[in-house]
Parts: sequence; C-alpha cells; structure tokens
Amino acid sequence: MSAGRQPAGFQVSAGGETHPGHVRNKNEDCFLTDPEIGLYLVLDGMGGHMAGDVASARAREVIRAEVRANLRRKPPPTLLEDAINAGSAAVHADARRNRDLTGMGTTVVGCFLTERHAVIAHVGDSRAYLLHEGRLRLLTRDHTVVAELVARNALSVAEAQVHPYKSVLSRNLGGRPDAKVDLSEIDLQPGDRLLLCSDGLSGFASHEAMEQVLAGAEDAERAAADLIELALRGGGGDNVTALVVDCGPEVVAESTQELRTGVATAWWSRREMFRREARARRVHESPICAVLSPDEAVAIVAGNLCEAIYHDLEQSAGLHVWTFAENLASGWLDQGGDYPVLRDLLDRLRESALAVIVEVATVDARMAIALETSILRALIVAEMAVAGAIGERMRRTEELLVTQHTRETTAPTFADEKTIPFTGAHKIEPASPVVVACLERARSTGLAGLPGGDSAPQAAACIDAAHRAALHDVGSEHDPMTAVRELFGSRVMSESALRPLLESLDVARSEHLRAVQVQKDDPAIRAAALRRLASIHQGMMGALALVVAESAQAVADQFRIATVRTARLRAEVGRTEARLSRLERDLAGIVERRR
Amino acid sequence: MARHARTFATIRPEVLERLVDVRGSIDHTLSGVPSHLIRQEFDAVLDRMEAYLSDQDVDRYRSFATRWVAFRLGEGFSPENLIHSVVAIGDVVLEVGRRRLTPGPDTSEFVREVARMNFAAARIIVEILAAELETMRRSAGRSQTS
Amino acid sequence: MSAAPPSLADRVAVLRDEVLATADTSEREPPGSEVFDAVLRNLSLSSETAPGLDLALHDAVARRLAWGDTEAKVLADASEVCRRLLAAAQRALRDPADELLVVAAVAEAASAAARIVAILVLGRVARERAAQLREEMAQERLGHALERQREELARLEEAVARAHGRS
Repeated sequence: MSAGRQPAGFQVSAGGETHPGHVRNKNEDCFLTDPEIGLYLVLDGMGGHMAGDVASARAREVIRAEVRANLRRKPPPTLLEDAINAGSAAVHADARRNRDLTGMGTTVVGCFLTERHAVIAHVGDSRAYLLHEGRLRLLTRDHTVVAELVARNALSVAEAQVHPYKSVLSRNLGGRPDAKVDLSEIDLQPGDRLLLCSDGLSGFASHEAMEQVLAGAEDAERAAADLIELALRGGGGDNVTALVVDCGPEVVAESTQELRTGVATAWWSRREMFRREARARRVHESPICAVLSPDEAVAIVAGNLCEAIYHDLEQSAGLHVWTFAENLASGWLDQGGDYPVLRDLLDRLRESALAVIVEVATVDARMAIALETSILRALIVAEMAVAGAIGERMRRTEELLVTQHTRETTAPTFADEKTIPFTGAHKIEPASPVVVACLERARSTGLAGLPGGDSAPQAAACIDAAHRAALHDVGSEHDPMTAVRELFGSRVMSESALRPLLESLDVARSEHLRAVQVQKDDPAIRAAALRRLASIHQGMMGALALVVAESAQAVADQFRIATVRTARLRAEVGRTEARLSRLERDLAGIVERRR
Repeated sequence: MARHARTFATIRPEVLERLVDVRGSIDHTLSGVPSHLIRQEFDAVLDRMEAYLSDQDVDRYRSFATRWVAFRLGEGFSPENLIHSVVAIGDVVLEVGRRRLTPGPDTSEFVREVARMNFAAARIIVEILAAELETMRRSAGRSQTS
Repeated sequence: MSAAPPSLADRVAVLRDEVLATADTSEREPPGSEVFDAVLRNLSLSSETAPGLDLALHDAVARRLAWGDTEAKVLADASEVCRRLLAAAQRALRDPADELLVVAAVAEAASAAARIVAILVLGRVARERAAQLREEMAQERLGHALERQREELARLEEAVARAHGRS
C-alpha cells in the first residue's frame, strides 16, 4: 500500500492489484500509483501479436512523465488530458514503426488528486467508481460503440445489453495520435473510496457485489485484493485490475460510534444465548446441516453467523454476513437443494436472533430497538447474498435453455435465399490471347500446387470457377456468384459449416494467384492476368459473405419482431400499473374521508 | 401502525427528492432517465411502502412486488440489481428518517418499523426470484427429457 | 549518407487521399480505409513472415458493423476501395513486378475483410437467436405480470365501487 502526500487535504492511501485471470496466458493490464504527484492510472492493453502489454506499459510511462514534467504549468484537467494524448501519440508512433506492434492499443482510466478534488479522465471501457456513504456510483461512461449509440438515443439500454457488438470499443489510445479524452471532476469527502478498474472486473462482478466488497474492506489494499478475488470467482475470463484510493478515515460522530460499539457489544455478549436459541429451534435438523452433528451444526452455522453479524455491526459494513450467506446459499443450491429449505434455516436463525433481542429489551428497551434495527440490516444483506446466488443460477439455467433452444430449432440455411447481384461487378474486357494463355498455364499450375486433404476438391473447383469467369464476361453463366452458390449448396448457418468453405476459397485464391506470379510471361502480361483473377477471387469471397449476411436477415427480423412485442407488453404493464396506483389512491382517499 | 404511516408521509417528499438525487447509486441505468419519469416510478414504490406501514398487508405487498419483478426482469435487469434497488430505496427512507425526525423513542420505533418493512421487501423479492428459478429449471428439465 | 529508398508500402501509402473518400466523418475513418490499411500491412510483411489473422482489420470491420453499417455496405466500400487502389497502382507504379505485389496484397486484404464479415455475421446470428429466446422468456414474465395486474384491477374496481356505494 502506498500512503499519499498531502495535496489532497486529507490522508490518502491506495492499493492496487492485477491478475491475468483464468483464461488469458498473459496480463496486458497494468496500473500506476504515484502518490507523490497524486496520479493513479489503470490501463488495459489490446492488440495483435500480444502487444497489448507493450501498449499499456508505454502509455503508462509517457503519461506519468508528462504529468511530472508539467505539474506546475497546467491546470489539472488540461494536465491529465494532455498527458493522455501524449500517451496515445507514443503508442501510435510505436505501432507504426514496428510491424510486430501493429494494431496495438490500450484503454486508460486515471485520476489526479488535488485538495479534496479529483479529476477523472478515461478513454475506452476501463472504469472509475466512487463509493460515498456506502453507495457505489459509476463515474465514467464506457467508450464502446453501443454506449455511444445509446447516448445518442440510437439504441435503447435494453437493446445495448443484447447487441452483438456490445464490447467493441469506439475509442482507445494508439488507434490515432490523439485520443478524445473524457474528463470529469468531483469533490471528495473523508471516507470516500475511489475505484479504478479494467473491464476484467466490471465484466465479471456485479455492481452490488463490488459495492459490498468496497464498503467492507478495512483498507485500500484489502479492497483491491478482494475485488480481484471477486472477479476470479465470477469466471476470471479476462485480465483484471483494481486500484482503490482511500480518502482519509470516515468521520463518525462520537455518539454514533458509541451506539455502534454498544450494539456490537450487546450482541457479542449474548452469543451463547444465540447458539442456545438456535439449538432450541432445531437448526441442526435442517437438511443443509445433514452431514454435521448437532453440536457441529450449531457451532458452525449459528456460530459463524453470530460472528459475522458481530464484525459487521462493529464496522457498520456487510461483508462478513454477505460471505456467510453466499457460501451457505451457493453450497446448498449447487447440491441441487431447493430454496424453501434454505429459507427455513435462515428463518430459524432469524428467530433465534429475535429471541436475543427480546431478552435485551427486558434490560434496555432503547438498546433492543437499535439492536433489532442493526440485526435486520445484517439479515437484509444475507437476503441480498442469497438473491445473488439465485441470480447466478438463473443465468446458468438461462444459458442452458438458450443452448437447448438453439440446438433444437432448425438453423437457417444460406443457399435458400434469393440471388444477390455480384458485388462490385465491373466490366472487364475480354482477355487477350497472351493473357488467356497465361491464365491457362496458371490454372494448371494452381491445381497442381493445391495441398492434399479434405478441402482439395473444393479448392480445385474454386480455381476452375475463377478461371472460367476470367475468360468470359461478367454476367454470363460463368458469374462467380453463381459459382459460389453451386459450389457450396445448402449449408447450415454455423461456423463449423462455414469454415471449410472459407478455407477452400482462401487456399484456391492463394495458389491461383501465386501460380500466375511464377509464370514465365512478361510482367505486364502476368499483371493483367493477376488483376483479372484477383478481382474474381475477392468477388467470390465477398459473394459468400453477402449470402451469409442475407440469410442472417431472417434471424434478425424474427428478433426484431420479438423485441417489438416485448416493448408493447412492457408498455401495457406500465400503463396498467399506473391505473392500479390511481385506483389505490382513490380507494385510500375514500376510506380516509369516511374516517 | 397507522402512526408509522403518518410519520412516513411527513418525510416522504424529502425521501422522494433524495431518491431522485441518488438514483445513479440505486441503479446506474437510471442516471440518464429524465427526473419526472423517475419521480413517477419512485412515487409508486413509496405509495406501496406507505400502504404497508399502514396495514401490514403482506399479500398486497407481495402482489405489487411480483408485478414489479416481472416487469424489471422483462426489461433485462439482473436479480442482484432488483434486490439492490429495493434495499437502496429502503435505506434512503432510513437515512432521511434519522436525519429529519426528532431523536427519541418514537423515531427509534419508526426506524425499526422501516427496517422490518425493508426486510420483508427483501425477503419477498428473494422468494419471487426463487420461484422464477424453479420455473426455469423445470423448463430446462423438460427440454432435456423431451 | 543518402536516405533509403521508400518501400513499396510507403509508395502505395501516398495514394491514400486519392483512393479513400477522406471527407470529415467525425470520429470515424473514411469508408473502406480498413482495407486500405490492411493492404499496406500486407505489403509490409516480408516473405518470411506467415500472415496470420489481421486483428486490426478484424477490429476495424467489427467497429463499422457496430456503428450500424450493413455488411453489404462494408463489402461494397471494400470493393470500391480495392478497385480504385488497383487503378491508382497501375498508373503510379512503373514496375509491373511491384504491381503484381500490390494486386496480390489487395486480393488478400479484400478477401480477409469478406471472411471477417462472414464470421462476424455468424456470431451475430448465434447471439440474436439466444437474445430472441430471452425476449420470449421476458414476454412470458410480462404476461404473468399482466394477468396478476388484471386480477388486482378487478378486485380494486369492485372495492372502489362498493366504497362509493356506501359513502
């Protein structure tokens, strides 16, 4: 953990952690904490040939250097924006200079702290959040294409959630020399907690779980570690980075602190009573405790809950009860257990706690009310954790239903659709005899050069089709579009069916064009032949893509009809609910007047 | 119980304003929704809360919650988001109550009553979600065996 | 010391403005620029380097489709850019051997773009079918909600009618 210098006006501490996740081989995320200048960054690299880590590291160093160099010369928003643009320019230049780095880029989210004030800047879909008074708020808007379309009202939020390209970025560092940085500024209060993270966290942990973890962690370092753990438990399908910045201790009124401590002490001093009540309510007879002896059930289940409540009461957080309830619910549901059994156990535990409260009330009524209010809050957290466990299983079951549905329904075939005009068809003059001769020899050479294997017959047919088309005018029976349809017949719309066709076309094009280039003819003749064939081969691939796209239209149409119907139903439910509210108010009004 | 409903009514305008202010924390997708629409939505929920504090009619509360959950799930909200929203609204009521009401036994009892209501709401949401999960599992089981 | 002569990729790169429609399209690149850039990358690859999946081209095509361009438009733009580039290269390059390389690079880039479009379409189809099922599940939930609302509505209307009758 790094402690802050004090331009921020209160004690700042930060903790960051990064992890490659469970799926990726390499970590292309990185982060920076520079408390001396109040700069904190998270970057998520991407790019071909595994250059994402190069991009993120390069941008990080350039941004830091720029901020340091211009710390006293520019106002904070300009300082951070210019530094990020410098980072983008550096990544862009490196990518152009070195072909191994082609296409590399990175996202960035950063904050610059000054005097209880933070400037937040970001490019891409790495995020900044603020935890204030226990509530987590997202400070940034993702720079994805769908988010931009939603912002322009070109897409609804619901459409965006199911959009096929929802994770495609609209901005990053490195794609261009300048980056189009989004900036915002916020005032900070003591006790506030800032979170900067890559999409490896926000994509694999719910907002609610992140809020609970951040609110419950004792310090920034622990918070960062717990958030990484949360993302890994959520699947860990991407590199994940979390950087937490704490803005001083929370200022708690002395009377509130006293009450909080008193409530926690009142609870802890009655832990034996709670365990006795739990035994009296036969917690050990719950099927969830079937593998435990009665003593073990009380000690482990009731005992753990008792301790979790105590810790959460002391810290005015919810992490411990959340963890208890999530483990209980997940373990039971994963065994195939049903919810009523879980609810019954939780009810027995709740009644045991209420019995303790009744006892407290005989001694101190005010303390009893405070204790009950706090215990209920803790039990609400338990319900939230159970809802999370149920929600997770709902998503899994939904995935299963979707998989079953897509397996069962007949996939559309893409040769049943109408013929599409050859894209980019352009007139070509009949080939001269010398070019024809070159084409004939190239055909033979190309066919001879085809590798063996399953795709060879199709690849040979592609070469023949292209050859015939090269010798005749476009629009004749030798139209490449017709050739594509004949060659590939009726296919199911799946990647496994399409890939062999694509490979055949690729192999055919590669061999056929190479065959032209190795002929002994004059370069001008080879160039003429090559132009002719290249145009046809790329047209065949384009025609195939168009057939696939048009066949997909039927699926898109059905989906659109379904969304329209859902929207209509939603609107009707909304209208009916409004009518219900009005009627209830009318009825309440009549009853009130009669009184 | 009616007195708690009356106490609720006195702080309700401030609760509503606070909810509109912090709507991004309750549900981040609400940040972009116009205030007047959000006000209507929250008002409907506060109607329900006031009615519950008055009559403790769990069945009517459950009936409203069932429709509300179906509506939200139909809009693509996650189960976690649903319960978080409900709890967050209840927390705002508690926060405003503690701040605005005169400290004393009446206020403590009101706060406890709101906490009981919030727990009941959270529990109802979980029960509805559990029933939904059961329905989905039955559908999946039918698909597998057919 | 004299500067190294420009590479073939550099000589083709100067044709950019001639080949692309470079009118301002705000944050978007000119149509078909992704294919032009892919051609330059293909020309920069040495013969020893085995060309793999062009991720930059993949991302650029995905971005265009995500912005709402149809597959047909993306393919048509690619085809048009290739046509213009071939014409410009034929005019600008003196050496037919260079033209051979450019033609081959153009064919490779255009075919790669079309292949990417086809694969992305299939991905979209799979997601849309899954999303359609989710819509149908949402409709079922909303249908149940509507049923309950209608029951509640009937009950309330009766209660209000009775209340009016008594008052």
